[in-house]
Amino acid sequence: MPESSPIPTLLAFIVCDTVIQDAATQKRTLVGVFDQVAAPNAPLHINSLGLYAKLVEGSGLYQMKVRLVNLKDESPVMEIKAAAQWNKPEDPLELGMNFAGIPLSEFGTYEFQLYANDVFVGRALIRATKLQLPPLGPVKGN
Amino acid sequence: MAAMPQYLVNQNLEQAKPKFVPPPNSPQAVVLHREIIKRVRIQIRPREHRPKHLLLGTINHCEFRVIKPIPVHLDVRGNTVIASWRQIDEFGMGNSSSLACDDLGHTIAELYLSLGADAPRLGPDLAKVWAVLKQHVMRRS
Repeated sequence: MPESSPIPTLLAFIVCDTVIQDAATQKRTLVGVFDQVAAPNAPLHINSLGLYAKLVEGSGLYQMKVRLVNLKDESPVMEIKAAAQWNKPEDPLELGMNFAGIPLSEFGTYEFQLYANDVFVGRALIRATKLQLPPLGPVKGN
Repeated sequence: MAAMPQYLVNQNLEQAKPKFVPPPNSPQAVVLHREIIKRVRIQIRPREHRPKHLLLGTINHCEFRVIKPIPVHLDVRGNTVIASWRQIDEFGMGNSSSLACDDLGHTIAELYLSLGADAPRLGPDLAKVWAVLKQHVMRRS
C-alpha cells in the first residue's frame, strides 16, 4: 500500500438498489436510489443494495474499504476491501458495488463508511424503519 | 473425689460469646487478605465497538483539502463521541464518530481561516499550530 498516494476527495457516495455498468460504454446506471428501508419486523435483510462512489484528486494504488456500522453503538455489520488502481489523476475514479442479503439486526440508522488506504473519506446513511400498515377498514364494494 | 468438669467447678469462667452476624440485608464484603485487598469494584460495561483512533481524510468543507491524514483520537462520554486532534489540541463532538469528526472538521476550517489571516503576527504556540495545520490541510485555490 503506497503511502505517497494522495488522499482522494469523495464527490458522491450513493446507496441504491443496483449499480449497472454498461459493457460497451462503461457508463454506470444507478437503479432505485434510496436512503430508507422499511420492514414489518426486525431483524431484516436488504435483498439488493448497490453502492456508488465517485472520487477525484487521487492517483496510484488504493486499498478501498467499505464498512457498514450500526450507528447506535457503531458495531460492524459488514466490511469489504478491494484494490483500485487510479491510472489517470485528472480523471475521477468510480466504484460500483452490489450486495445481496445484508442483515440488519434492528431498526435504526446505519452508516456506510468509505476508506481509502485506511483513511476515512466519507459516508452514506440509511435508515431501517418499521413498516406501519394502515389499519383495516370496512370493506367497500358491491 | 473425682475430677469435676471445670465449668462446674469455676462458675466465673467466661463462656464463649455468640458471634456477631450481620443481618442479611446489610452490605457484606469478603476480605481475603485484609492488608492487600481493601475494596473490589466491578463495573460491567457494554462492549465498545467504536475505534479508538481514526485517520481523517476529509473535513467536509469544500474550500479545504486534506493532504495528509489527520490522526484523530475517539473517546466516548455517555452518548457523546469526542473526536480530538491532540497535536493541536482541538476537538469535536457528536452522536457518532462521523458526526464528531464533522464537528472537528468545522473547527479545523475555522482555525485555519483565523490563523491564516494573522499568520505574520502569531506567537510561538499558535505558530506551531499553524505549521501543523498547513502540513495536513490546504486551501483550494
